[in-house]
Amino acid sequence: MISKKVVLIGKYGVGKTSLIQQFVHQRFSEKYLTTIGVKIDKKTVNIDGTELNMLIWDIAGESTNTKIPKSYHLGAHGAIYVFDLTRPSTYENIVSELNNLKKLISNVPIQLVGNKSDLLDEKNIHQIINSLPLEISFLTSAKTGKNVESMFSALGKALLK
Amino acid sequence: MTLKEIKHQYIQSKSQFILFDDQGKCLDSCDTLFQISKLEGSIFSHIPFLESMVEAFPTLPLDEEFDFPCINLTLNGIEGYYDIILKRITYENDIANLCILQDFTHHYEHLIVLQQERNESAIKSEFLEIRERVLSLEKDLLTFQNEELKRIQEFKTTFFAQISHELRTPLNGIVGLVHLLGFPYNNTKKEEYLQALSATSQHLVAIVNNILDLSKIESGKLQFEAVDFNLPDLVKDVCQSFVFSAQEKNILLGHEIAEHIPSHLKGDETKLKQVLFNLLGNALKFTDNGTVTLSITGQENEGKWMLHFIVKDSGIGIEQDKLEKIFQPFEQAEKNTSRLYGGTGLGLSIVKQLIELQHGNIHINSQKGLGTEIHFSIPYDLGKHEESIDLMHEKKYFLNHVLVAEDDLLSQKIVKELLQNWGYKVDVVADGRDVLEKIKHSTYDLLIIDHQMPVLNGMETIKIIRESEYFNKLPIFLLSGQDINNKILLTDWQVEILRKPLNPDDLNKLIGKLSEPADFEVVNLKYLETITQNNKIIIKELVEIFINKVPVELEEMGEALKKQEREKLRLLIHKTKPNYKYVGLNQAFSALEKWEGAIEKDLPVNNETELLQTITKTVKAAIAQLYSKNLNLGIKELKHT
Repeated sequence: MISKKVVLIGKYGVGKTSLIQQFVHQRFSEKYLTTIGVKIDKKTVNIDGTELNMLIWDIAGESTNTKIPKSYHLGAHGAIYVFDLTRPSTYENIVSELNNLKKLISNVPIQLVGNKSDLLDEKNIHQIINSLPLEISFLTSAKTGKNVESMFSALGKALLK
Repeated sequence: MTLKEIKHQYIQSKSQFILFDDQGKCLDSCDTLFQISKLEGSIFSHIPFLESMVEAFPTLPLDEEFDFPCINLTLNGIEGYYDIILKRITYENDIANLCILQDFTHHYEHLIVLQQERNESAIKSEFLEIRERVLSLEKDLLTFQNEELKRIQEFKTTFFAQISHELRTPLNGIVGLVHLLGFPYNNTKKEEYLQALSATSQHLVAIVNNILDLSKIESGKLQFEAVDFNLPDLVKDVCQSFVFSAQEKNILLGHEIAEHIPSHLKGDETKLKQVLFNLLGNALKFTDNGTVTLSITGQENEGKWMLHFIVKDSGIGIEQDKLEKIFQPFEQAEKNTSRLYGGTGLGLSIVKQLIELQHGNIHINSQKGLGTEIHFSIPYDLGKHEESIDLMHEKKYFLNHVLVAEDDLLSQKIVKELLQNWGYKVDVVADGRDVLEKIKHSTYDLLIIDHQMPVLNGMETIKIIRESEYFNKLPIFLLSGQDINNKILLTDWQVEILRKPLNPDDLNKLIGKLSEPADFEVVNLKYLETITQNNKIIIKELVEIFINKVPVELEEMGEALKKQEREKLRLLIHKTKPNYKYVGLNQAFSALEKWEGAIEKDLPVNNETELLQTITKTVKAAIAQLYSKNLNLGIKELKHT
């Protein structure tokens, strides 16, 4: 079976752990529990007939990802950068944050994900997306599960290419 | 136990060293924390942290340490936090991977509480900051709205204070004059009072119109049209209306348009006229002798024509410090301007806004005692080229019986008398229901209907009329004292709008526009009788020429038209047209005259073949009439039937 390391990056409280909880265990909790260091979860997915073992590194969010130990990125095959649609501070410096990430793990697929889409109406979401200088890969809700599975599957496909 | 031993025991109890190869086979393990050495198969399948690094191990440089602090692992069912060091080393003459696990669960569990608090408070303060920002924006918006309201309120207060003053003056005048007219012993002065009453009323109407314009501008409701118009015609019309007052004051009034300016432009013709009327009117008003000129230049930029207008006079001029103020509402350069020269002080303010709302600009140069130059520019699109001349649809106007629907007695009387004075038969009703009754029983050529009426209002009545089978072609003018919202519907219904108070000129113009297509003309020999002093012999000869020659000439014209021999056609028309006049075919004569003129100027003419056919039919009908009447002229040898 093919195993791939995937790192989840993004500021604290954006819902990285919740996305993994939803994806791996199909559960969600309103309570905010901070992550420290790294917790690794595993899920096997079937991508077009190929079994893929995703080893997902849930990396504790910092105010900026430059504070994260560089070693965490070692050997990563893909990354998910998560921001919180309701908190501008989590996407204000999105370009430089992604550039930093790309320096640490070059040439791997990265998904740019706006989470907590359940908390805003379409009009607000549209305004935020239009104000961003980058194209968003997925708008997810760890709470309702919207787009969570498809976001991980899309990354899985990209990992197998 | 020595201190060294105590230390060794302490550190040893919290760390584990594992050696394994690139396939995950355990080479050695101290198993202090977990039983690794006895696990079956690859250790990767038991420790996801190591499993995710499988591809990385062969790439690690030899003897270099990689630190992974605070890794959450669940091993043998126990969850904890570990700092992990990975190192690629030489072991028993081979390469192996060393993993050092150090248990910091106790330490990190303390830290997690602090981190939780730190993050929660940071998130809270972020939301607070957002809330504060929203509140501050809402406050700014409120302040702005308040200021705008205050500004509008102030404008309204000043505006009403000023207009009530402006309105009261002429109103007082009107009341006084009406009062004077009531005295029988003032009969000799009646004419004089009526003149003054007319002038004062017109002044009042001008003020009210200006106020309406200003309020429309202020409320942003003024709309601009984009219609094709002919600039030289417009300028000529405007100047023409000032010729009389210029002559009276012995002022030379002139205008010039630079040659390169296209004559056909597209924009709001009415607003341009309004601006020019205002500025030329002012120039004439403040000039006692000398000249008033309007010159127009301009240049093209990306398909748009920016026209520059200069209205120059040799009048009293304005002092430099008053120049800025004169564009403000109710401002005139001098306190006694209104008394000496009249005016509302609203004109220039309206002009400035009309120009600026059309993306133009205006400025003024003036020297006290020497005169004033007003420069303004407005962009226009290029209009459609010369319209072709449609001689076929020359209209003839027949109007006899008019129905007036108006509930206000005074307005009823004014419209009725106006129409009767012009020689029309007039019926008057007071509401829409009566209109519907009337038109069923009498034939009307025109309906003039008020917008606001009891029972059935103007629009409702018009709707019923237009939807009816029998009356949908009845010409209708809608009288209205206010702006009509549904102009598109009215255009669709072919209803013309007349503003109240009714301007007789407007009504006359609209009546002039009313038309029906020309029918076959009836021959009439009155003209011949006059010019020949009723000499029957000459009349007979000329009629014979008409009967014998005109049809031949028509055939020749048809040939020339077919071959597009324009000059030949023109000569034929020129030669044949007097014959039409002799027998009283004035419409055909006039159509031929215009046709000739158009060919001479090389202008396109619509449906020439059809025009020739109509003239031919008219001629045939005329010849038949001449025969049937025989006209007691003894016409015997008739070649054409």
